[in-house]
This record gives sequence, structure tokens and C-alpha cells, in this order.
Amino acid sequence: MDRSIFRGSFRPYVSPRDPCPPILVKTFVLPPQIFTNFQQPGLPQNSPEAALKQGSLWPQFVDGFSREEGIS
Amino acid sequence: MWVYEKKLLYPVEVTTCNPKLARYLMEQYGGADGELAAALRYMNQRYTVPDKVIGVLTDISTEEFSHLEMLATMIYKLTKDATPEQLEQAGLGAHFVNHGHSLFYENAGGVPFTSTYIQSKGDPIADLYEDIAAEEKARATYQWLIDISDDPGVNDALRFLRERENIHSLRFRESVEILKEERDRKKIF
Amino acid sequence: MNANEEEWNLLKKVQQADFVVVELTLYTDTHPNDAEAIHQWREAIKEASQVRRQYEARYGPLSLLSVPSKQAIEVGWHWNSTPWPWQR
Repeated sequence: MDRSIFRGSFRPYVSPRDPCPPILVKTFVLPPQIFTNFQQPGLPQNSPEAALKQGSLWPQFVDGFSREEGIS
Repeated sequence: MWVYEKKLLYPVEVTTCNPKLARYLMEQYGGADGELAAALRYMNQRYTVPDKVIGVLTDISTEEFSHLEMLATMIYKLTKDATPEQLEQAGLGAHFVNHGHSLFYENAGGVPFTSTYIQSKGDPIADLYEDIAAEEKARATYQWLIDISDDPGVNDALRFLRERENIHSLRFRESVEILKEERDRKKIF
Repeated sequence: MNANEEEWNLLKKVQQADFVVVELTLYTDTHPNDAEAIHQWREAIKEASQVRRQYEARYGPLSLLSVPSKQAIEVGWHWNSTPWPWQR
């Protein structure tokens, strides 16, 4: 899974009077489902074991999320 | 009607005794974008939507109740043998004097659940857009919970729940497309 | 592997098989004309009920719609027997 295709980023305005150390680039989530209005038939599927583990039968809609990404 | 299944949708394993994390998880138990709100929102809307989308609302609502049970399991395990002192340190002192060790439908700030969290406009597009938004808001809440939790077992279950929001959002988006196909159907009758 | 772990793992098989049914049910709700998916959905339900029977034969019914095995009754299984899902 290439998670980076399901993320966006922007550079917020930084003021010299911001009290916290500024984060120069902010990242946000663009989840897989927003890129399709209707799931195509016949997409590749996970095994039952991987499906339960990942939370979907279709890897195409799995983007995962972890604290290490530093999104918040 | 519904038949109880004596199993969870997903195997939940909680690693730590961590009442503070339990308190945060209450956001998804009894909060505005939580699983109870989701389950009740869809279960109520389904009666008056066009027939073609009743299945989606019924089945997703039913699944949300299984998510609610997963949240309850996590909250229960995280607080099960915690002392009143531990609960107080976790910010659950006020919860404890009112509810003891029992669960309650409230958010992370202790605000009790209210039906004003859900909407039902009787307009299929307004309702489905509300549902798509609800799924994305729940997904975001799971993200912030994953960011604040350091319990590997809880995070594993939260990742699963977050992914389910993606799929539910997709099914609601498809429902909108299905209703768009009904345009001008009247003329053909 | 101890008995508790064995049960946990077999229950996980039930959860995996059931989850495929959950996913395909939602999919067919919005794709009623996808014949291949409808076929897979039927097969997934068969598979799930087979795995479920394996579990229930050893550990007792997961639902009130399952027939309790004689063996389960003999060893003192009751619907109200612990553990409940949140206690495991």
C-alpha cells in the first residue's frame, strides 16, 4: 500500500508571533473512497485473514493510519 | 428483529489497564460522531428512504452496533480493575461517583448522549450527505484516538474501525449515485 | 497452545469468515447486478456456516439460531455460560 497517494499537504502561514514552534508543512488525509463514486466490479481481494486484519476485503480502499505519520 | 451473536465483529485485545484511554474512547461510544449516534441515525432514516438504499442503511446500522460492542469491550477492559484513585487520576472521578465502574453513553468530556447528535430530514440526499459526513467525522476521531493512544491492542482495533468508516462512506456515496439514476424515471412509467 | 488460545484462534476463523459475508453483503446492496459478486456472496455464506459449525460443535452455539450439539449440553454448556464477548 502506498499511503502517500491518500495524503495531502499544505504550508500554513507562519507568524513571528506564533507561540508554539511552527510546523512548516501540515499533512491531512485524502481517504481512498473520495476518489471514486462507485466501486468497480472485480477488484483484487484480500484473503479472509487479511481482510479482517485490514478492515476491508478490497486493498484498494485501505489506507491505514499511524501516529508515526505525524498528521496531528 | 435482531439475533444476538455471542462474539465480537473483530477480536479485541487490550494490553494495558488504562482508564484515561477508556475516557478518550467514550467519544466514540457516546459522542456526537460515535457508534451509538451512527447506529441510531441510520436505523431511523431507513424507514423513509427510497427502497433501493434501505439495505445499505439497515446493514451499516447493524454493523455500527457491533462497533459499539467493540468500544464497550475496550472501555470495560481498560477500567475493569482500576481503583477509584486510578479513575480519579484519569479524570473519571465524576464518572465514578455517578456510575461506579459501569459504562455510560457519554463523550470524552462526560457530556451525556443526546438524540440531537443525529439528523433525519426525510430528504434522501440531505440524509445521505449527512451520513457520508458522519463517516468521515468518525474516521477523523479514530485518527486522533490512534494518535493519543499507546496501547497496541487498542490501536489495532481502532485501525480496523477507522477502515470500516472508509467502506461505509463509499457505500453511502454509491447510494447517492443510485438515487441520481432515478432522475426523470416518472416520465417512463 | 493452551485450550483458551485454541478457542480464541478458532473463533477468529469464524470472525474472518463472517467478515467476508459482512463486506459482500454491503457490496451487493449497492451492486445488485454483479452476478459474480452474488455468487461469491453465496459461497462465502456457506463457508462461514461451515467454520461456525466447527466452532460450535466444540464450544457451543454462538447464536440462538444454532442447534446446540448434544456434547455441548452434556458438558454443561448454557447460553448464559461465560465468557461473554467483552470478557474474553
